[in-house]
Amino acid sequence: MALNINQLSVAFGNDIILDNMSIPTIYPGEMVSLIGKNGAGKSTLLKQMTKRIRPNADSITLNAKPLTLNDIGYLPQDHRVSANITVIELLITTMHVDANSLFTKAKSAEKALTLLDKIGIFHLANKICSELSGGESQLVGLAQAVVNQPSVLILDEPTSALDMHNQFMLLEYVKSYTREHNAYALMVIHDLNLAIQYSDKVAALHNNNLFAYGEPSRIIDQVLIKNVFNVNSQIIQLEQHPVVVACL
Amino acid sequence: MKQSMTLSDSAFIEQGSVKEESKTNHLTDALTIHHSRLKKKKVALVVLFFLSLIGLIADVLIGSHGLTLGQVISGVFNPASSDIVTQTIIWDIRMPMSLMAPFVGGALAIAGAQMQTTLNNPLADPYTFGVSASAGFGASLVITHIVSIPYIPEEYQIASMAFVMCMLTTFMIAGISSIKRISIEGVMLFGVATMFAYDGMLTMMQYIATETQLQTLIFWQMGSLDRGSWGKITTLAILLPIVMAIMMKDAWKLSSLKVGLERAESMGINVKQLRIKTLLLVSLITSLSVSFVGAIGFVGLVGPHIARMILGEDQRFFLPASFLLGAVLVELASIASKSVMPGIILPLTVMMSAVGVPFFIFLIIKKGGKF
Repeated sequence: MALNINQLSVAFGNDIILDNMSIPTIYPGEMVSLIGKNGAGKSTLLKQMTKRIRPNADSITLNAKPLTLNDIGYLPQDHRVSANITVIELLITTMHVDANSLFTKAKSAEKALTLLDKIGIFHLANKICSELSGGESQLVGLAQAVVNQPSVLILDEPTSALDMHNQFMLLEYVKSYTREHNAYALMVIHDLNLAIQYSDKVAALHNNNLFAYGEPSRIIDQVLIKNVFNVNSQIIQLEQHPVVVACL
Repeated sequence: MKQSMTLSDSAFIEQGSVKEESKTNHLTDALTIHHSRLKKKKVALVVLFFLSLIGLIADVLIGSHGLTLGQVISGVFNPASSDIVTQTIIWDIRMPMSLMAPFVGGALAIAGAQMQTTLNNPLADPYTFGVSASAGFGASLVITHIVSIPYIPEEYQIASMAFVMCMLTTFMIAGISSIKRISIEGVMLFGVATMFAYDGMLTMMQYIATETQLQTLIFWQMGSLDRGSWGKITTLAILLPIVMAIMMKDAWKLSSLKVGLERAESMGINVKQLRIKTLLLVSLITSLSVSFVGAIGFVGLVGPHIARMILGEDQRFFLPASFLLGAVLVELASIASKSVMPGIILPLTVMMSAVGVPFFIFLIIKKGGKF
């Protein structure tokens, strides 16, 4: 039982984004944060995981088989929904995407509501998706990503539009989901302190490849931050938790 | 002390059960709202169906030749009791004209709805993408005797050429939209450029046409339901349900595509295939409708927008609602075209704009342009 990314290469024309990149084995129940500068290839890596066909199918495998779209739940960076449908309808639609019948499965609405309640956005259930705020639509996007109970959660900057409370709410839910379902979560995250707090492992991408991988408290240090982000920083220990402070 | 702890414990338990009860109430409330919304959509579909039926009946009853209500009803249900003139007016003129209205209106509206959904653009419809203009250009080629299609009888030459041009144009749009590096905005711009290109070519054809040819060409472009025939109605009556059934089968996928391209792809939807398949179906029904009655602008744009505002974009309801609204709009335009100036049938496109634009503007103002 493991998720593997091996020798993955992506190029757009002559522009190499990922150069034969491999990531150490990711185990069930693990939350892995991808960190790195803009353009380092973090989103490209996630997008490769959401592709129906990859040039090399064995470059991303789940339990030794090529990762398929049935395995994943995806929250893209562009999380806005332009459709005039309610949040419940959005979730019901996602539940039935492969269905041949136009009729909904039994208790679909109840399932959708239970999920919204678990995430903490029950109050959005009957709101129109195109009228949601940025943060609300990001939380709804998470609900859509998990509604079919995928084994692998792929979250591209899931906290970018959220206030502090909702950032914790979303990450707490992702944490409980991965633990409960023995799932894998890969997410791009820019806030290093959130990455430290919520990740089991951190993958730092730099120069089209993996720069460092491991437990956040072990690998995130001044040297890594200087090398990857070109920023001087200090790591302060606060109640035995490392906190990154940038020094300008 | 012990007693106070017991009290606070029971208070805590009570608070917990109240919380649980309120949560269950919230769940029931949310479910009720969801189910009532669903019910409203179903009722709206039934209302639209009856409106289209009433529109059809009214359209048959109203005409330039002053037949009474009784004459029309007996002419429809007991033709043998009517004189030959009444029979001809009802069965050869009014019925084919009136029955074309819901079919053509419905077809153009679902064509617009699907173009807007698959290309994720609220401005997409057969008119704005130059499909209607291409039909006009195709017709002009035949009218000016530049092209004639072999083995096709004279009376079907114009419609056939218009059909071929429509199909070619929609194939071209489907082809362009399947090229990965071309964005949806790029496809839209391509459609607009196509429209201008055909308009330019059509102007050129008008310039070189003789006076009689020019007259024929302008009248053809205006779009008119009096080109309706039982053969055309049968063709649409067979094809439209098939096309609709195929589209409805993809309803969940189309709803997901409208939610977002990236998400739809990550859910395993083959977006490229779905888009091409839908646009090919759109090309078929648009080409048939436009070649049968000429270009009728606005219905492909406004029908789906009204449907979206009333029923939202769950395609299971949105598609049939678009069809029915398209049908109602063209029926109303047809009735208006016969009623405004007694004895004269005004061009359908003019009436379509007269009927549709004020209502559409009213909805835009009311809804703030949020579709």
